[in-house]
Amino acid sequence: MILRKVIRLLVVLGVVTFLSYVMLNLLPGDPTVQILGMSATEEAREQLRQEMGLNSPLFVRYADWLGGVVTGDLGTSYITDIPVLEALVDRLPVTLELLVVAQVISLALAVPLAVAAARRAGGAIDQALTTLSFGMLSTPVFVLGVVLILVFAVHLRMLPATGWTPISVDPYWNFLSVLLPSITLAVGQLAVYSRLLRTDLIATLQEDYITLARARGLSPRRILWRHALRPSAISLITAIGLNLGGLIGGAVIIETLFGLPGIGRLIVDSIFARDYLTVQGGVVLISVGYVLVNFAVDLVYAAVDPRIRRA
Amino acid sequence: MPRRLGWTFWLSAGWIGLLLLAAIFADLLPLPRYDETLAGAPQSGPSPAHPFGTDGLGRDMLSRVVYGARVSLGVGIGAVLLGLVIGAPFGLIAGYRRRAADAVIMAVNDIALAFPALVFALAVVAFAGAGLSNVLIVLGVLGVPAWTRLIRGATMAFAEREFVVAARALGARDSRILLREIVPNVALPASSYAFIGMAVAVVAEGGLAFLGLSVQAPTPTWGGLINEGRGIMETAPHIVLAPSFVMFLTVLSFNLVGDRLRALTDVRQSGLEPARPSAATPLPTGEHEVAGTLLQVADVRTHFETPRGTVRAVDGVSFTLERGRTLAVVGESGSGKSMLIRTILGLLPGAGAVSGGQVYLEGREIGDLAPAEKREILGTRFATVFQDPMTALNPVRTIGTQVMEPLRVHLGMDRKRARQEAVRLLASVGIPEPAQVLRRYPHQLSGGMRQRVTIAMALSCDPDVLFADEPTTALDVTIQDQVLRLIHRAREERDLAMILVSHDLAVVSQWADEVIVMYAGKVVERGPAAALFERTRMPYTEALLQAIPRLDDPSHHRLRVIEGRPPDPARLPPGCRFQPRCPYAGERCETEEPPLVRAETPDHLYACWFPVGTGAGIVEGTESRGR
Amino acid sequence: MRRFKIFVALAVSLAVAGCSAGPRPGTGAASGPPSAGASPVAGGRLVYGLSADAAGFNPVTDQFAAQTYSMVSPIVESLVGIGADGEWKANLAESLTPNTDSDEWTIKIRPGIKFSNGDALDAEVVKANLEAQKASPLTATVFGPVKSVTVADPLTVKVSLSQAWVAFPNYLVSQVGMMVPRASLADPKKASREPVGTGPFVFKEYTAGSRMVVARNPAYWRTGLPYLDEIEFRILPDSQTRAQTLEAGGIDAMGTTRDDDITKFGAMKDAYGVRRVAGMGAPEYTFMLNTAKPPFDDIRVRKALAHATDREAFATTLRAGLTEVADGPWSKDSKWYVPGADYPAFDLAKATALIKEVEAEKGPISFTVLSVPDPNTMQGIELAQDMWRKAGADVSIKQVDQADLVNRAIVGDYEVSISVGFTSADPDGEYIRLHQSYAQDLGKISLNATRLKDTELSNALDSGRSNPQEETRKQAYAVVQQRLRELVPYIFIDHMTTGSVVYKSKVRGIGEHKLPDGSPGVPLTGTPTPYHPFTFVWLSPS
Repeated sequence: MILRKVIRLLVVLGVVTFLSYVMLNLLPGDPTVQILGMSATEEAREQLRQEMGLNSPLFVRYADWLGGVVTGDLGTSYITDIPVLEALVDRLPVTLELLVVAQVISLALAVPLAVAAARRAGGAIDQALTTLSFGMLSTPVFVLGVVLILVFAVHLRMLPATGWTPISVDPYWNFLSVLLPSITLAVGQLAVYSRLLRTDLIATLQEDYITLARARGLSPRRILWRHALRPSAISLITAIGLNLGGLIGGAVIIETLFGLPGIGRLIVDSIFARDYLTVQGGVVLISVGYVLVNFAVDLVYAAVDPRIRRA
Repeated sequence: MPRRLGWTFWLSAGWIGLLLLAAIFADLLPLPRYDETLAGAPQSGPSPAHPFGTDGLGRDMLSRVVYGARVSLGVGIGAVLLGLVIGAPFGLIAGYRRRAADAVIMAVNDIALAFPALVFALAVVAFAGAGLSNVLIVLGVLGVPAWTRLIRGATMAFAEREFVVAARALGARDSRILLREIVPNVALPASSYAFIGMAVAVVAEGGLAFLGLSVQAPTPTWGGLINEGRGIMETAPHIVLAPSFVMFLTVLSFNLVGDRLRALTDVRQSGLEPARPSAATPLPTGEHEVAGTLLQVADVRTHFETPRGTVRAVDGVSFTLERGRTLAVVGESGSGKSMLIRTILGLLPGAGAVSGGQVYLEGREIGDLAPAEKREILGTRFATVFQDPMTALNPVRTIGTQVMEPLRVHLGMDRKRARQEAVRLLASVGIPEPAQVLRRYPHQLSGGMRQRVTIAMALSCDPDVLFADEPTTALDVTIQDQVLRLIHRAREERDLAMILVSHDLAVVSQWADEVIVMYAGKVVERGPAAALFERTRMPYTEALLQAIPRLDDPSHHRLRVIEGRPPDPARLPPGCRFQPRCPYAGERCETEEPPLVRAETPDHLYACWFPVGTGAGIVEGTESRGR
Repeated sequence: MRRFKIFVALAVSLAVAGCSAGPRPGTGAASGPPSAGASPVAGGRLVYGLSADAAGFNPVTDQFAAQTYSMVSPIVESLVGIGADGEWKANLAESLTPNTDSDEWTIKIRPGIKFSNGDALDAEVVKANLEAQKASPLTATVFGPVKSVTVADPLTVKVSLSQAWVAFPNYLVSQVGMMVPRASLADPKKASREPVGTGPFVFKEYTAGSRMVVARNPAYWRTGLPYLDEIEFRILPDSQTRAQTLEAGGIDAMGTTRDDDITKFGAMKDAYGVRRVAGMGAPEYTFMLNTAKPPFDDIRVRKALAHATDREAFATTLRAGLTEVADGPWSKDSKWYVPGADYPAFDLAKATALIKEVEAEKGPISFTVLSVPDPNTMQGIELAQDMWRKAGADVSIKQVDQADLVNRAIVGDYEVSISVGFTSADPDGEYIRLHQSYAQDLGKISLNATRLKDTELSNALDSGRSNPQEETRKQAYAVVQQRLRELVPYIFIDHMTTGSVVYKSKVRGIGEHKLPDGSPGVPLTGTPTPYHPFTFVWLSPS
């Protein structure tokens, strides 16, 4: 079973990297222009192309590259001369921290809100949450981010507007610098998570075992948190998994807005710079991330719902 | 339909419609050209000439926002249609054909999901250039996996429904089934998702425009307008605010329309507690004396307010119950038996339920108690066993956690003692190796075992009244008797009072001391078991008795069933509620509701104008429709 | 996004043009608290916001943009500097002397200078640097006329040229004149990431796309300098974000080109200072026309476009009236500027008539303007589009990313393209982009991207390059300006003096650089966001 899943995910990895390889190589624009600038002669360019192996057939190049990837060598960028793996490893903590903090914020709010809303479905809290979540869903991050910077950084001066302090340099500033972008990212997720969980909680609350728990005289708080929450978490976990999987590629807009050196910006800049190897490395990272998240989600499913362990 | 969708739906749909009209007929509107620079002073605020002000190049913002709607709505609708056109057929095939087709399509879908959307979008736009059609294609294609998944799921759900299975069995062509049976049913979830997808696409287009990857300027797009205005937000906020606000409203509208459409397919569900505490005034209770017996139920009612009218699920039920006695409640499904139990226990669903009447425990009214006190009674004095052991146990908690919980909560036992007690309890209901079972999850036990567990849990806090709601119906026939014996033994050992809900009169006659027969929320006959079965008065009870399959029935004997169907609880017939199905019904039955009247035997009550076995029906037989 | 703009500038400034500048004496508009009078205080850390990351820090192998100079010039110094008067001045070199024909230059190196790795700066390493530049495909074209470099004595090299080249030292201001130690030449990849030089600061750390930190070089050859202990360059591509970060206190200074920033921060005189680029160093905002391709192979269409362009409207709407309109590559306060009434004035009727005339002969005129998808750039394009449409041309816009735009420009796959450039301190800096010998046919790589082949213009450029007499050179460049106005390969809009550095008032000495001989250096230069040395920058403790 696990072996089948591994094979399947390896196929996914292979196809995704190959397709992206082909796609990137179809892009217009000559990498030699990026490297040598405009004033280089055609001969110099040709020589560079030869060096970069740009003249061999696509399949050969892909095979070469793949061979390197298998041995852990993602190549070295021709544009920045930085090993691709190093560039990715440099940027990954930023993206991961942004993701994790955003998930923590959104879940820390979404779960209690959803529980409160489900407790009295259709009640005041529920209606307020519904209204609020529609509002949050409908606010694009590029509007929200700008407003948050304006309010919290420029006017109130509570948080740094932009920039990135690595956690190794100063944990406190690191936390401050990740806060605003994480909140910006968390708002949309909060809306999605709380609505998903609320819906599933309400469905769970119709179950006999909940009615029986009430019949046993257990308090609503206990029923909601201990009895209803876990069986209602499957959609939420799926959504978190999809979110994490999708965002390993970085939240480009947020990274741009807040000046964060994350994976998303790296990929965007690299595409514009025709830095194929770095983009390709990013694709590997994203696909591997997707695969890992997939596994993790399966594990969490099993932890949450013992019935799945059997399968 | 209109009422169910609600005003938010119509307001939202109205806004989308208005915007759509404005976008389509923008050329006919008296607006300046959207790309006319210096139409007014740059960055000037709203004025009569330029209601939304002008942008940095002096272009009319209203015109730009209206023309921007063309792109935003165009991309939103176009991308969704594209995703639908590509994704829906795959989803239909995968969901309908299953097997190989499903495996292949979902594998491709998996790959598509793993493909980094950002790289794809950037590559396409960098390759083919930014432009309306490319953005539309990118967003449309990116939406395909989600569409395939959704349509597949919906198709699977419907492909298993009877009408489809029947059509397939009858040899209808697949294409015909898909078109006639599946597509119309998948259409509602699909259209709901379409609107939500449009909201997503509009925001995504904004994001691409924000990264400078959307349509070619000077064609305005909302995301682009916001991005342009962002830099001068402090000096000319209207340039950002106008498109932001319109975009917000539009995305909100799409989301709301989608949500309301989705809600159409929702079953009405309620939370743990009523939406508004004591929102509805309780129904009036008839006068009664408080007897001081173990349990007294007086004129209990539960009504539901539904869009179709008031449903009288329980409509004035009274009885008393002494320690050591078993009261059986019988009736067809939908007669209000289970609802009666839930009403007594105060476990009504929150949505739209109004109840009335009083429940007394040893003369104390429990409806007026504070929640904590009420829970104390529920936990220690009452106990409940439900019909289906498959759903009665929480699937994600171990048996041990569940059995020990009431012990710890109500009896204050520590973990160790609770565990010992749990083992003892499980052993007492005949579960072998109870210590191991404590570590198991419900799905690892058989149905009979699970019901034993629920019974053990019910007995754990030494209750006085046991409510058993069809405790054996869902069990295998061979196990039913074991479980009933177990319950009965427990009742005897502990001198419990029991309320046994059942539709199985054979069971009832064997175990019950008293019987209540319910029909459409009302008690139609009530009395000691022996009297009621031997001298049945109410024709409904008679019909129920006749419906019991007997061992001496010839084989291939047609199962006796009661003619007709139970009445629609929201549209009860006038007069006697059983009258449309009653073979003895007369004119009076259609106009006057029969009260509960005393039969010759003590404590035997019935509600019928023409009771059987008294000759009354025969005497006035000329009026009856006869046998 | 700002990165796009930089690239546009690069695309047309041909690699070296954007790196040297020279305003006339006393230029370089500054506002804000006066720093004169107060004496510099040593110490402190400056956080400086940049619009884009560098592609690499090796002057031999990496293409330098304005932000690269900001990051590298504190570490690596050039042989030559530019004075505030716009004339070149020796920097690492002690002197540069031409022979009488100006086809051989003798470079004497300042004695006693050491790289931060301990190597001495001597004739051998200078020779090795210049030869590496000559061999590098990136800069070979610039050094085209360089025949050979020879060591005359331990501190002297001779550069012999294939033609007379009076402005040669001007080129040594830029990356081709930057001196790195042998180790860097031997390992160019390492040098690309960890620059080493003779400068006032040494490399400390770098995170691509995020930040670079340099620390004070205690052994700097100019004693008592620099003042700062450390500089952190923070890369914030979004201009709005950058401005907000400055306001929120996250950075101390930043480069910008937005008129809004100048207006806004300029108004807060107590809290912020604004230093704007001026003179030759200020870039010109232009539209570049492909003269080898219809419809712009017809001079009437080029003229029509110029007539249809209301330059004043650009200055007022896009630059808040902060800039002056341009009629050529050099600003009016430059000594090279000559007035001329022959540049097509804004005249919509004339433009319409010309378009009609050509359309009658050749059918409808339609073309596409290339731009990068940056909203600020797009505003200008959209304004131009509307103006040109009013003259009757069918104008569409195509957004391409910077890599694609450069490619299209040099192979001639475009009709009109946005172009910001002409920032060289000496007019000879524009030689390659204007000379006909660099114009190739469509499809071939042409460093003269307009592909205008005009003998008179090219002869004038040659004359300006080879004649040492300033008067002759002035005459030559007068001809260049006149031909450009007549032939309209570029539509000039304005001198983009909005390029500026905005800094908190505690930051002192921005643009107050002094060359080794004690004369003031050029304050700001480069495009679009200017750069400046950091040697004399200090932080006021109050």
